Amino acid sequence: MQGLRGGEIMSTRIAMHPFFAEHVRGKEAIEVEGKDVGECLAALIKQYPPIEKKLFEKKGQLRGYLDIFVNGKSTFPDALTHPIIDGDEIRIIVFGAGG
Amino acid sequence: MVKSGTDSSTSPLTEEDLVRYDRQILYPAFGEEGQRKLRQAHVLIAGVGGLGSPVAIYLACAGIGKLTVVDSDAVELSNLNRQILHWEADIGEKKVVSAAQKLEKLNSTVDMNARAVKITAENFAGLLEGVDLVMDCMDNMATRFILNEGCVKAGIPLIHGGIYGMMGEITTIIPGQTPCFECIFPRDVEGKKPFPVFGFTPALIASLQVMEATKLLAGFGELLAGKMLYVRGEETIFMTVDLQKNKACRVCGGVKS
Repeated sequence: MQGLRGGEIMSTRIAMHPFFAEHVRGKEAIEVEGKDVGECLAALIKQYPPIEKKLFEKKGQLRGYLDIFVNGKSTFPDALTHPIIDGDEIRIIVFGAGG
Repeated sequence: MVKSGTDSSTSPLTEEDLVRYDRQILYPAFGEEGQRKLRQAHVLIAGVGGLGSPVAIYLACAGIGKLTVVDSDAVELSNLNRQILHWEADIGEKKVVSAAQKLEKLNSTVDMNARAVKITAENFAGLLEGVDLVMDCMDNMATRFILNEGCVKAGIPLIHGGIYGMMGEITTIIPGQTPCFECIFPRDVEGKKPFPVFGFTPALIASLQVMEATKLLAGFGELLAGKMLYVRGEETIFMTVDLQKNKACRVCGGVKS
């Protein structure tokens, strides 16, 4: 099976925050495919459509209380275009920075 | 064990105290003993903005013994939709001065300590001298990591509150018992600024922080220890999530209960 970059497709694991549990039937992690974070989140939404409104504002921006980590590093401020390669792990962080 | 105030036996309540705090003294689990414990307590409020304003007001109303408010900012017009201790006439004034002026009028029996300094890793240990509890009312994550590390090292509980838009979160960190801030959040977590916020979001989270503080200091009820309460305002959902301690945590990994 050929993948997006001509290689074998390897799925990427998205570690889900419990904040979203009700929208992913309680799963702690979801396997998706995509060449960047935006595509991976789109694949997640395809599997669990109600999560779209929880991840994105009306204008398609990530919710401001989310930061997407790839392999333990923040992808702010260019999360959606951050490239993903085989074996990467995506983690969604929920945080209220303001006070 | 969670520290539940200091020895209150040497601090009798006055006749005025018994009247002033009557409605909360009536709460059976709190009573006069709870009131004495609040009277003995010294609470540091880190940040006196959206969260810090209602936290300071409710702690002062409740008869806390000493309040230290720490903030280096001055009042700006854009603060006034939510930072209820600061009014139009205060624009340009240091927030801690603006806050202390109102709090002293609200409850003159509270020992007010206003510190117009920026909290740093270098000065925070000094600010903690004599403090029983820290309220995290900051507006940025970087300072929260400083609060956390200082509190864990000093063994002082920290009640974290954070907000963004209509979302809010709160947890109570007890050094040696619960996961600490650094167990919960990666250090380089980042988001856009300025952040959107209504007045009601910090008001709600601040109320919950003071509820936690009252239970912790007076020694009754169950705390949000090891749990994060999220408020999802758009959906009017309150959800509580168990937090996990990171045994390899740089800050609390070696702290024993």
